[in-house]
Amino acid sequence: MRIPHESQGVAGREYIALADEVVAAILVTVREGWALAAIDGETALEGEVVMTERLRDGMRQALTSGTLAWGKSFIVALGMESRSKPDVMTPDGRTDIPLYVVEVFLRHAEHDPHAIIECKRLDGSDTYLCREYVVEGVDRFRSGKYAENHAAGFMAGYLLGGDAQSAAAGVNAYLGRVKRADEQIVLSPVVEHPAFWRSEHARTVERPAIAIHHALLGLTIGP
Amino acid sequence: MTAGEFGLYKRRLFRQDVALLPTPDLKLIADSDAGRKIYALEQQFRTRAPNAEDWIALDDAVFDVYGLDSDDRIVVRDGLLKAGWQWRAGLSDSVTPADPRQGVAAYAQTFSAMLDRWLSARRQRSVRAEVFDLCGTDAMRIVRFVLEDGAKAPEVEIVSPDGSLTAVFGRLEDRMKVRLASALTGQRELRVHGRNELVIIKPAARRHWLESVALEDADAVIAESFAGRRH
Repeated sequence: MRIPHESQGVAGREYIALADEVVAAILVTVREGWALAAIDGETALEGEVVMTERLRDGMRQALTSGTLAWGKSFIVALGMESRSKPDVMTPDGRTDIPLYVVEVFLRHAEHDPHAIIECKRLDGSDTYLCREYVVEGVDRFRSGKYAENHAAGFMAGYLLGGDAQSAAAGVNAYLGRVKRADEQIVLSPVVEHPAFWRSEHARTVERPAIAIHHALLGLTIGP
Repeated sequence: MTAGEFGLYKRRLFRQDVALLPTPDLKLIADSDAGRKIYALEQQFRTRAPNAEDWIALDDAVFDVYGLDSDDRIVVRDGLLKAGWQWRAGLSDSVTPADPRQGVAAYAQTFSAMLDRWLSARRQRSVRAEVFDLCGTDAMRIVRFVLEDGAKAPEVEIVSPDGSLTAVFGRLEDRMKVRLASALTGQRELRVHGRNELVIIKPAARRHWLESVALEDADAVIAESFAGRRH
């Protein structure tokens, strides 16, 4: 959180630049929701969509459990069609977990989501999944397809194998191979936790660079 | 809830209004701790007139039954208080100067608690409030909130103004590079933002320093901090 200081008024559409504390609250909500979802290897076989729905339900449960101080400030919406820009009349995206911050809506009446979480399966030793994580995940933010009006995007990586460290190494290896080494993901400076990582990407559209906060989530060990 | 409704814009209470009150499941209440507490208080009131503490205990038990959280309870309690201001007996209460050590300190505590909900996500910073201990005849009240490094519970300190209200304004003007006196001429409530600090200046009347107002003021500050960065 920052005390608004020397900020300028903005004409037109509000640019959503979440403070670090809000980013942290989103990441912790994802982590707590994932723990409640308790997805094991068997559930993972049902596919990414089921895992995402379980995560969504878990996040909602975490927010209403009374254990998170910001529980009444977030709305975890259903996956929805999205438009990259307000003047796009045919939805050109489908977001996994859109999130609304109640205070932002009350203040700015912004009806589009205030944070978007893109979910992908990941395994550091699987070069295909690492590529997909970047091309079908990171690049949707980079291209402005998602979160064109946000300073930050979010990704949840479902670790089918290995740990967060090896998953990050796998993604970074792919970025290195395609000469995007400056976009490598590093441990999060926002919340100190081995599951949380961060990267920054210059957008391919005329927008400031976007920060992506990653939650790399391991499966629950089965009974 | 009802405290804010009856007495404010509903000047008469009809049987139908009572019937329309939302009521939790009575069977569930009967088996709950809160329900048993309400029953015990009711039995007690048959033999002894309730005192101030009893009313508070009854309120708390009813809040539990309705599942109200701490913010809801503040809004209901302040609603009841404000309803009292609508009638002759309490007409002047709203303009009574707020006591820095009680009303303003409670405002600062609630405001700080709201900020701390977000700060708790990272546990890297905390909020400290300074309530200026201005005297009853001073026209304004001032609270300064400071964001500090380190995780700890919010603190509210009562600090000496070290001089008159004018002197306090002078020091704040020097430090925050803002002309407070001229700003206050046009606007009676000021939020002055500095780097990691916020000063709230409002008239002394207690209606400006209710805890429910602290909830609204904190919401406004939090929302401003979320969005609006030019790019």
